[in-house]
Amino acid sequence: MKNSWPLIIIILVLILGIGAFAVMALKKQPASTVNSKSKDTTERLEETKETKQTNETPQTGAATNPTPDSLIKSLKALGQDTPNTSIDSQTSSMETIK
Amino acid sequence: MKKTLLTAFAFGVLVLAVPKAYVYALPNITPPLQPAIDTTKLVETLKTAYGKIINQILTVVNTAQGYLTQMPVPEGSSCSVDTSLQKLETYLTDQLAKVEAATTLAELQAIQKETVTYLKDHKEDITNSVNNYVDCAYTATVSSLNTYLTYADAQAKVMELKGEDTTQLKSDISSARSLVAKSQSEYDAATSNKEKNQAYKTLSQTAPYIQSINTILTQ
Repeated sequence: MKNSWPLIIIILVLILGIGAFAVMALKKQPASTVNSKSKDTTERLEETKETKQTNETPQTGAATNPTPDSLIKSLKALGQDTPNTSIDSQTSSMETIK
Repeated sequence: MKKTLLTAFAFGVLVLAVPKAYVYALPNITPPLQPAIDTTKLVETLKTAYGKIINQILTVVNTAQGYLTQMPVPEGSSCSVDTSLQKLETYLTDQLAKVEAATTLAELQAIQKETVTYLKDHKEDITNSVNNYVDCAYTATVSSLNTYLTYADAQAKVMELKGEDTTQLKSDISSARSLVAKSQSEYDAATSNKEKNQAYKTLSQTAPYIQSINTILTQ
């Protein structure tokens, strides 16, 4: 019995080590992955919708999430006629006057 | 003696009358009197004319700047106006000041020559600045539009799974996608600015559909 104590201590240390490793590994895993098994498709799509709606609020630099308002403004601006940009006639007049 | 007197009289008549008759008969041969040129007035007239033309060009530059300033790009994207418009505006403002300060014809002629040369060298600057900016805005808008339509597609699937009616949403998405495709096709085939403008206008026609999609998704 006296000789078995070191073996018991080694086994206890191993069990504690494996337990700690498992806890750390679980913590590193994303919450969505952990919970995904318990969710059906509708719930997951609903979650996506909620995330997208949150992203609809104006965010500078969020190239992948344009707000409909900013998009509509850009579209309407593109529909406008471009202004006259030629200065040929004025240059010609300037050259002619002597 | 009598004969001599008659001859002298006849000669006198000839000497006095012929030039007089010549003047009456050919009045146009006499050169008209040249009025003295009023240099000061001419300088002022030219200053006014040059100033008017430079101001007209400044108006074109400022209109282009205003147009670009009011053209938004979708959030998350950015387009910048190149510096050539600003440089042209600064140059013209300087030339205007030079015209105002000029006091001689020689000075004005030098300013005129310099300005015309500069304008000929930079006549495409305004057009290029506007086109580059609008091109950037168009590309950014197409990209954002596609992103939004992909999002709308996902939302349509969610609604379907929930048993909601997605007929209008899907129709709007489809219409918007068709217009985007048409616009991109027009843009790719465009060989002139006029044709590119048509592509911009086609893309802008998606606005009511985006508005409708947004209304459905936010209900």
